[in-house]
Amino acid sequence: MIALRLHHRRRVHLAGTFLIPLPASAVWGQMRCFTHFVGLDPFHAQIRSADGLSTSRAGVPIILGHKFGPLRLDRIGRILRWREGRGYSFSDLSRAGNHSGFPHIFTYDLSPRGQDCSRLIVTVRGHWTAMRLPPWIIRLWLRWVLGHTLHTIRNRLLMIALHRRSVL
Amino acid sequence: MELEESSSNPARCLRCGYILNGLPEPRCPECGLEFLPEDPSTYTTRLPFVRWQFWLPGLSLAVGAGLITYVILLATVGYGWGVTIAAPFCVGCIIGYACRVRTFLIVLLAISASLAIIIGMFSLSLVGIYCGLILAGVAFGPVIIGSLFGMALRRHLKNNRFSQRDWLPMLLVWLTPFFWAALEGRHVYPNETIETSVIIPTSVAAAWEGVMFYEEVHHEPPLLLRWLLPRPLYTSGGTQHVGDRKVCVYSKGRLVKKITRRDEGKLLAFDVIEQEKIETRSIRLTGGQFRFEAVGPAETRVTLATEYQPLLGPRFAWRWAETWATHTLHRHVLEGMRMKARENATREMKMMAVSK
Repeated sequence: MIALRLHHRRRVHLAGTFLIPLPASAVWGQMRCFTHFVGLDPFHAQIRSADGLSTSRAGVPIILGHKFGPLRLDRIGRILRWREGRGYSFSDLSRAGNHSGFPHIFTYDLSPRGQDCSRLIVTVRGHWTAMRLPPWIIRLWLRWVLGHTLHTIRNRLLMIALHRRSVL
Repeated sequence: MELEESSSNPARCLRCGYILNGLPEPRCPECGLEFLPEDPSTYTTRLPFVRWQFWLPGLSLAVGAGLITYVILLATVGYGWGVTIAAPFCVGCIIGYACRVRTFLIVLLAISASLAIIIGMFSLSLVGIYCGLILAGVAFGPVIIGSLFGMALRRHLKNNRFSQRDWLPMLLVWLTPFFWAALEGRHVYPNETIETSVIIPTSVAAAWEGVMFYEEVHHEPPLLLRWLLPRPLYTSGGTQHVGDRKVCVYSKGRLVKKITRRDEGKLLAFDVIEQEKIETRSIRLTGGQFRFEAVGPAETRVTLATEYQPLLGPRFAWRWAETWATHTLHRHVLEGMRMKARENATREMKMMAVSK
């Protein structure tokens, strides 16, 4: 389920939620590798720590490699919050500054829903800077991108769920 | 020693797939399996390969259920709407419901399932090559429609709280061809006759001299007769008098024809009195005739007719295939007669020249 609010000043609040038939600890087992899990976004190519240290803590500066078809570009950010077993959030900013190239903050929030079920909420908050685009195109684009990301994450987690069911 | 972070292939627990990077101790916190960071054989960097679980059980179920359906229906009611339309629809439906892959893969799986079923039926001698190919072609539409229906049904029931949705819809779908066949019953189709005419550039007498049955034609048959239908090996007996019998032996069985009428230069009619292992599930041959009609001083229209009782239904799905195969066979025989008549005419001219 995706909810989108686009304010008249182009402030964006986008949230997608889904349930997974896996205990929260097992989902966290996939999320805890930040560079891998955040890389499941269709536009994220390679995520790495800017200082070469581990990414599993708050405050780490990161470089987010983006891909748009044949185009490749790096954006920068920082891990803003790290809650072990619950989720994290990070910023995704343009190298040109905080006021261009759709600066936004991603949040992944995991919560248990019973013994073998958990809920993941992916939130994107930011500011849309391409002011000439009509709002309906922005809405369509944002929904499509988040929908694609959720679909990929969900499929990956379902694959793990299927594997666990056949092995454990 | 800790495992290094990797964005593309992180180290995972061999048992549960938990990502093992940056753990304080070499033990999976989820399932308890121990690993050695310095020994790559104690963990994996590959995702668990489970994609086959999304489609293989569904495909196997569809092929198995389809084969069982065909075997039971063919043994009880024969070819009808149940076999030709409902059974492939049911196979497609099972694929669409039980396989969780993309739409185009669903369609691909449905086609693969119907081909696998046809190969299975051929192995069980339930169909010949030609009938099997035609059945696969006819089943194509129902299989695709069924698979899309099954997929839509799965999506509709996905968030339903009905606890038996895993198996009950599939069971009902599987039973559909049986209900349909029970309502339909065994069909008895009326006899049909297929005729092919050609004009042979020779006199009626020469054309009559050239009469031959399929089994006596020696020139190369077309692909359809060569590869897809039983091939004639040899023939014995005569056609000189009414009551004569001709035994034609094929690669898979034999036909016995009895001459019922013989009007010199006009008509040669026969009945098929025995049909053994030759297309016995698809048609019952009853008879045939050669008719001769002069259309000019040196031109004869020869008409070859085959009469049979069809066993395949519904007729709109099968008649065109029977007509096509019969016309191909007729044209092959008539071409043989034309060649023989020309040889006879040439021989006569030579003899006349010698006598002069």
